[in-house]
Amino acid sequence: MTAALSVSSVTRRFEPTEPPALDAVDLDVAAGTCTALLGPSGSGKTTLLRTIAGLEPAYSGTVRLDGADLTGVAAERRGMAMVFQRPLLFPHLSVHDNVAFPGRARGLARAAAREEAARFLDLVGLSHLTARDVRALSGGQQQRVALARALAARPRLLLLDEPFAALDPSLADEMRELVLELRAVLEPTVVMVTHDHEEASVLADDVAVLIDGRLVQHEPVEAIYRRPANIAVHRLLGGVNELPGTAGAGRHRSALGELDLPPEALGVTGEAVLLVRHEQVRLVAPADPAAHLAGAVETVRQRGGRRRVTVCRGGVQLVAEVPVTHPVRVGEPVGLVVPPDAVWPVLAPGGDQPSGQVVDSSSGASGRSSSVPAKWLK
Amino acid sequence: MRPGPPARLLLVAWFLAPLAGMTLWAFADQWTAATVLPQDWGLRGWREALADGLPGALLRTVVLSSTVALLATPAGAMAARGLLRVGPRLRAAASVLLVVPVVLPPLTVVLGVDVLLLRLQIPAAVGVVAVLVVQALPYTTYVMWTTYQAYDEAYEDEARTLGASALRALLRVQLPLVAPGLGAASFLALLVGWSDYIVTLVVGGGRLVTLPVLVASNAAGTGNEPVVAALSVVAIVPPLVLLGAVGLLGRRGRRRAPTRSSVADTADTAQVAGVAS
Repeated sequence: MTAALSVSSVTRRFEPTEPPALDAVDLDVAAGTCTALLGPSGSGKTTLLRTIAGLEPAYSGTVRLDGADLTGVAAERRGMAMVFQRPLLFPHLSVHDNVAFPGRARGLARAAAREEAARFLDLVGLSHLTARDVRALSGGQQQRVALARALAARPRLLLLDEPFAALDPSLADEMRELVLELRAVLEPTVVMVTHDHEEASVLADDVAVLIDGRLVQHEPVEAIYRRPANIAVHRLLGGVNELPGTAGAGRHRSALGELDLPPEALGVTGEAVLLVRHEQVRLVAPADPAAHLAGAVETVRQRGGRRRVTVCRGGVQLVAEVPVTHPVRVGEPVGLVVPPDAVWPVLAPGGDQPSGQVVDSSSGASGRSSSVPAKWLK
Repeated sequence: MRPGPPARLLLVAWFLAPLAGMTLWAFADQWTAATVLPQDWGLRGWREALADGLPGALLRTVVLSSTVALLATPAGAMAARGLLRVGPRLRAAASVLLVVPVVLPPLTVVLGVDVLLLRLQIPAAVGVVAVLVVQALPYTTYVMWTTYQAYDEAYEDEARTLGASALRALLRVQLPLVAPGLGAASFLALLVGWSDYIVTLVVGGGRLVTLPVLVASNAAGTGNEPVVAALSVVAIVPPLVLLGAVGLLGRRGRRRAPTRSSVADTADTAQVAGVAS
């Protein structure tokens, strides 16, 4: 039921004079895995998904499913199914007949299609709502039906286009849990579009970052958080710390102090911005021998059950996220513990790039094994 | 502003008064001006109407108006879908062009067109249908235009990714969702054909005798009130019945078809309606 997806140098232009919506995108998704397409609004995520689905026929490059070229293959013959942000349940059909729609389209008799539909409705926990009018369902239930209907198409590749973005947070969490369960049971190959890095990290094995129609980086979830290709990727992943300074001899120097670089980036030399995951920074007393950096508390911002403390020295700021119980006062001097696996350097454009370690960001998709990014923002 | 009860009564009377007179006349053998009700009741009007070719005229009217509706509705629907895809300038030009058949006096157009059709040796019946389809197009196009503005093409994308062919997506998804609009559009097109007199008379050369033509020729004589009334009743009842049917379909459709922005609203309304019923 699952298949490997391979997208190579796909370019999609809407207007000849405008920059392309998709610019030579390469993307490989192994069978049975889930890749999240992460990017800001207008980055081309949805266009890429629609191109894979066959809904945007005018593209160059190739989309392959298990090696078979899908150029010129109509959407309904691609063996995929898509769930959109809006549930798009057919309002003239009951819940049951909505889920039976793919079976009917495949040529099943009405009874057989409905029997199959009942199984998928059961899978998403809605077997009690079978006879219901689709408009009588809540938003979460509608999206569950949409998911069941997509699965009933028995897709070799399941495409999800921000399917939970319109749901309130607790419902969206429930839906993510459901998708995880479904992944465990059915093991479909999944490509999902999201602008929420947390959703991507919950559901996906891999994250592929699209910015301005280019695939900037494609790596497993842990790797991409630890080694963002550039500042834009770091920001998309919720990162807030960018320390300007210089790298050399395995260390990074900024106005806040010196930090060890992670083992994979020891060779980075030159003007470099150090990206720091705020979740891993700890606040300690200024005299603490474990402290790597020191500064004064500038602001304290409550954020849910945590608080974000901005520490400043010499015009350079670093944010640490600490438990809400952590005592901290504005203006007091503090020490900062920053473990090496919380930092990642990115070189300034034109900086001294150590050979064999730097990948151009535009070829980041193929650079899953390589580690050091090249550019600042692009 | 909602009219108050007396105004509403007046309005109803305004619509019903001519119908009441007509219905009474259809069953009156004699009714001189002085009395409120006919002096002699009877079926003289109906007997004369049947003898004068009522069944044939009814059949011709049904065939003519259905043909007009069957041609003008899909054409209007396709025009409407096309208009949603073109730029604003072309759309503005098209909407002006569309009202031309409604704005121009039919008689002037028909006299000119008739000469053209005769020169081209186009059969009279084909000519009548062609001219009436043009007159019906503004109505069908405008109705389908508003229908498609509220229709979300993403439903078809969804159907396609679920394995439905383009044809299946059209028949099983698009058509059911725009059915209320199609019903209203074809009703208006049907009415254009059903009630036409001038085009049928002039382009048809007087040989295509439909109900309006038959009514008019009888109304020209004196003492024919019962037969004119009987013919008029036959001409009026079918569209009224259809209007009721389209109205019901439209109400069901409005509950059914959610628009781009109001999927959630519709769901809420449906829930409320479900609770209320």
